Amino acid sequence: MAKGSKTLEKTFEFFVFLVEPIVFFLFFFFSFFPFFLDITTADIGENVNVLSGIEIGKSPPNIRFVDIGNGSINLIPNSTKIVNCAVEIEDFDGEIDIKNVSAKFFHSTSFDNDVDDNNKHYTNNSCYINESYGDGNTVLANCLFDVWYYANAGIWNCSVVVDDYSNYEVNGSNITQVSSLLAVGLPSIINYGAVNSTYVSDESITEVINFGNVIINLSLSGYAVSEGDNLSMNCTLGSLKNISIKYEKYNLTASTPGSLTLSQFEAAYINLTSSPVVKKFGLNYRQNDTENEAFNSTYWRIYVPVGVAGSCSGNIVFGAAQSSES
Amino acid sequence: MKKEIFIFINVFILMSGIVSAANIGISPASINFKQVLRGGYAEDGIVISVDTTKPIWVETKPRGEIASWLNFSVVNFTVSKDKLYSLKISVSPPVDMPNGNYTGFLRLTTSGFGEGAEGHAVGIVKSTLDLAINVEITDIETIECDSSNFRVQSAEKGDDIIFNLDTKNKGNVRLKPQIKIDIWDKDQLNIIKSEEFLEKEILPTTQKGLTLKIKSNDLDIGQYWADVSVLECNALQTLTFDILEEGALKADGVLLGIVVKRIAEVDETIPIKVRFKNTGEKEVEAYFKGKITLGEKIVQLIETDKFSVPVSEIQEFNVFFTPKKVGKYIISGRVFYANKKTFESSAILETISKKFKLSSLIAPLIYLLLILLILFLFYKIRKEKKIYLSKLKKIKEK
Repeated sequence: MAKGSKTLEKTFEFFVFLVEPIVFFLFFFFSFFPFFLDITTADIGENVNVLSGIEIGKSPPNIRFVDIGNGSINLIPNSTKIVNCAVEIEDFDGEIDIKNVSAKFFHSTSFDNDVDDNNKHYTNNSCYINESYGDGNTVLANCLFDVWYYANAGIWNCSVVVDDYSNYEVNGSNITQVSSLLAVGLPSIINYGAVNSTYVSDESITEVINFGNVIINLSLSGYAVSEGDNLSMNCTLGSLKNISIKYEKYNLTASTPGSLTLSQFEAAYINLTSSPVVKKFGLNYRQNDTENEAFNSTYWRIYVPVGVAGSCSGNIVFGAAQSSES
Repeated sequence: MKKEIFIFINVFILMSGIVSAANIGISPASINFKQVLRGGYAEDGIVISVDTTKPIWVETKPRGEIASWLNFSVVNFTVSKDKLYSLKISVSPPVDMPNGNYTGFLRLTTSGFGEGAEGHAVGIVKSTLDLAINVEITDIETIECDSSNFRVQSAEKGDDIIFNLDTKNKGNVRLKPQIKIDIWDKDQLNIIKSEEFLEKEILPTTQKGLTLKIKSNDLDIGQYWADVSVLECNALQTLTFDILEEGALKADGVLLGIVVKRIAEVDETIPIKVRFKNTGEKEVEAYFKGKITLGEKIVQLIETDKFSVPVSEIQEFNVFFTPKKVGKYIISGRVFYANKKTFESSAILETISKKFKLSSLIAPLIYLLLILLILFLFYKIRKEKKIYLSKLKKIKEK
């Protein structure tokens, strides 16, 4: 029994002798040399192999330029103009790392996050990315905007956001000038219909539409055959064959419906003249994206005097000019 | 209800095609000539557009008190949606006009589209646009100009070296720009040739492309640098060119840029990419040589290995840098190739102190846990040892 206990005691002492130093060693080792993996030694002249931990992460895309073309943007009346915001992007993770390019084109009175409005703010959420452009790390994104004729004149900003699959997002921008546009939409004729001699025609309503982006005033004049002839119309039959300029009249503000006598006609309407007369029309440009409200009605009549018959025709010159209110 | 009927009639009229077949527009809607000298000159341009692809005939006619001062590049022209028309308008006020503001119009008229109707009285509508033109007459002379787009071509020995630049006269007097060209040696240490030119007149508000020639007979074959300065415009541009052997292929290249993260942390290893494009006519061997500075102090010199760069190819030189301090580092240098060097390029790297990251705590935590485990084991062993020894003592005593 005593022999057995002695053996057990020796075994235990050996265990303690072995384990204790190991535990002590580990304790000091981890306490003082936590970065033991980096420790290397070498004699002079020997190469040292260092386990280095350089981790080259993904790189963000780099917007090289945002180009909106040279000079200012000239809009097209009653139509849209394509504006291209071209963005050259470089991504050292390869062009396939570029996930999306979006752009906003907005007037200086508007802000990046404003809602779209054809007068001042446009958005393209998915620009066309041309991967065949440049080398394997470079693309050209074309951000196209259909800019309406009634977009505000002035300084516009093209602000671009590039997202890549490495979860980077970078911004770039450039500015350009949108020029003012003076344009007017008119009917091709004012048809007074068949009017008997010594009668005043029915009222003909003519719409004047602002197809530009400035407030416009009107100048009006007329002639039968050549400018300054003091006639409004030239007719095919009759002893006179001409209608004087003073018998063609207009009203730019109010309609006078029904049949009128010559005196009523002269009281309610203004004479057309041979030389242009500028009228304060103040027709604002379109502000409503869903409905074109930028038009005003003008009201016209003609008196046919004695000595005139057949078919009559003349010229009415509508001149549009930028109002000083613009 | 009346209003609704009225709107309906209006919409019907608009939709039924009664409106004119073409709507013409001018952009900008007005022109202002500012500070024009009496007897002076100024010019500007307008763009005429139309919303139809059919060519539209347009006639121009000046009106108002300044009508006789106005001149146009053409009087009649056609315009369509695909082919906008740019019209140049110039103004030349008489020498005896008093100072002040004068106004006039340029009237653009299209041919009428309508026709008469049998037995009816019909007014054919002619649409015209009046471009307002305002002229401010002054007697104060202003000299202002801009020079841009400086270029030079390499030349074979004996041929002329041709320099080009554009100069815009932004003042109100005629300008004869004085241009000076200093030619420097390859290392930009010594001026080896200098020439001055007095160019032809440039009218106010106009731009002119200028071409200047310098003989190359007295220049050896190699690379040179040229400082082109336009004294009146206060403009200076440095260019580089080669004098080549007759029939020799030109070596040329551009340092496209040094690409580096804008912001990095201290002790973070940053890749720096230098991009060089071979724009010449033959393959070149190129390397990048530069430095990284922090303030006035150079912290690292860079010299990459040499690489062969084929014609039209882009070579990337990769360098790594580990900033040790917080601050603004400037990486600058040039690419050397075919016994030539590019313009210097630079990039900025800003370093900030390390951010606290939760992941950085993982390793110390593991170590701490290991140490605690060891201490626990140590404690357990000691405890067991005591129990065991007391048990042994008891057994011995028995």
